[in-house]
Amino acid sequence: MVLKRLLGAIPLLVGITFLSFLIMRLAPGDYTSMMMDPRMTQADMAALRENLGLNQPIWMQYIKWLKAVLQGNLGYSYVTGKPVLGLILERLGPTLLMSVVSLVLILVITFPLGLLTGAKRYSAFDGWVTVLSFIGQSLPTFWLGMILILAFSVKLDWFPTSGYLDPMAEVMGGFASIKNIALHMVLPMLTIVIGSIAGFTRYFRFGIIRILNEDYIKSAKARGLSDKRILFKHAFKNAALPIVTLLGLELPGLISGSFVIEYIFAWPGMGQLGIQSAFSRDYPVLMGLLLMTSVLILAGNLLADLGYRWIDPRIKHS
Amino acid sequence: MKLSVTKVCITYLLLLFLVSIAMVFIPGLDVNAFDPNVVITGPQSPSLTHWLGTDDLGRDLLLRCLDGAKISLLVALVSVTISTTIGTLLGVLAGFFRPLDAIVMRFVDMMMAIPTLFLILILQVILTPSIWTVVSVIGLTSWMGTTRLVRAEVLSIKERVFVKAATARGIPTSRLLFKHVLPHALNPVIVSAMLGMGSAILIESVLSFLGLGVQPPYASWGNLLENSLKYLKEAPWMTLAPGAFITISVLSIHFIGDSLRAKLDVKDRA
Repeated sequence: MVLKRLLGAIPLLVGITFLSFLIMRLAPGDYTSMMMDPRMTQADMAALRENLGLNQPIWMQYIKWLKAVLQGNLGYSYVTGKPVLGLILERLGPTLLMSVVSLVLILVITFPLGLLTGAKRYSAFDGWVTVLSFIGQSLPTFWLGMILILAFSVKLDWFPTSGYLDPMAEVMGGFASIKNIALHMVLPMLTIVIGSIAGFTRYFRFGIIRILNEDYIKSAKARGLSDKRILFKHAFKNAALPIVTLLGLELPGLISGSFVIEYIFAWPGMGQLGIQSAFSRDYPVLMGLLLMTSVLILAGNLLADLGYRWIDPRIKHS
Repeated sequence: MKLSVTKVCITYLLLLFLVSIAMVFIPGLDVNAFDPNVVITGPQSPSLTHWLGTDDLGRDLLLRCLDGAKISLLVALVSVTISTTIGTLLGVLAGFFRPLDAIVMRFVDMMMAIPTLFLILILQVILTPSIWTVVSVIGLTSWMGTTRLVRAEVLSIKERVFVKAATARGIPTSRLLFKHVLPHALNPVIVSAMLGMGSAILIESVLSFLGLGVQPPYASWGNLLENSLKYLKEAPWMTLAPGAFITISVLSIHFIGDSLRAKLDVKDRA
């Protein structure tokens, strides 16, 4: 089963890489334009193109490119000339830090919220949470970020407007650095969390509603167990199962979804790199990022699937 | 109670759209009229003459927001039409024809694994951004949900007795699909198209905010926000006004979508 899933991911990977490759070829200019020299003649250019294999059929170029990618060579940035893989890996740390902490916070908030609203469906509390989550879903996240900067940095001056680590704090090192990073993290994290509360709460709410309709809950009720006992002993534990799946499914999405937030808060992650590369038309970096995030999403889906089979034997037997 | 909220939302969106269109035909009204004095003094805060204040060129923000409404709403409408058409067609094909199912659904899986917003951003960088590229790029990258919905519906409709009866009568496949199967699969499509309008408005606003979406001289809520980041400290109203229009409009769309869901008895597949 595991093997089947792994094999199933291969055509997807081929598809994604081929699409990335095609899009990159769609981009104006190829890598000869980067190496161009005013002294070169038309004949020199043609020779260069021949040497680089740009005259070969597209599928042969794709295979050549794929071989390089599999060896970790994602090409070189048009702007800095540095290897793309290195540029992306440099940014991985801040992005992972932000997304993991946000995801934990989101789960801590939305799991109880979803259970409460689901268990007390159609109550006034449920209604209010629904309306609030509608509003949360309707806010453009980048705008929410700007509003938070306006309120908490400009007006109240509680948190820095943007950045990651001030030079002063970096010099001091140790606890001062950590505190400084944490301060810079509050507002972008809050933006991500507010933007995601709605979806996650709805997810857990539906989970608990489905569980409360299961036969084992009905039989527990028939045996005369109290509502409280049924909820805490029987329902909530099972509602927690999908959290494992959610981690795999949502973490990559959170990483690729928060790039505008990183840009607004000047958080030096992959997202900010993406926007900067978009502005400078740095196609190799853009494609490298697209490829990396797609693979991350695919891997996350796979892990979520396998993890779920592992913790919930019902899936295996059905 | 629920119904009246929906009515308010529908009225708001229709009025907004109509006013936005009508403004084009009002003689002597120039939404881009700028004030040379303001260029020197900086953006004007909200006042009786300018209800929502002005931007850095002294242009009235309320007029600009109303003017931008038609572009933002039209972008959403057209891109959702594109994505719904593609999504429905592929969904029917996948659900009805067994051999196509695997291919189409693999393609859906692949598209789902690519971060959509980032893909859109890259396509906008490669193409020269304009209203038309925004519309087509959003439309071509957001049909996957609809395909899944329609496929699931068609798979179950296919087994119903009236379809079997129609097949037994030997009617042509195209007629069977479009006269018998599709109409029964449309309710969830309508709901998801409505909600899709909301996300299209949000995507357009991000793109235009980054300068990669709707380009001046056309105003959209997104590109009104584009240079507001620079003036966040001195002129917060430049940020607040367009964002409020986006939020209220998307919220209205969500409310309408939710009551459509209840009315058409569509299961929530969150």
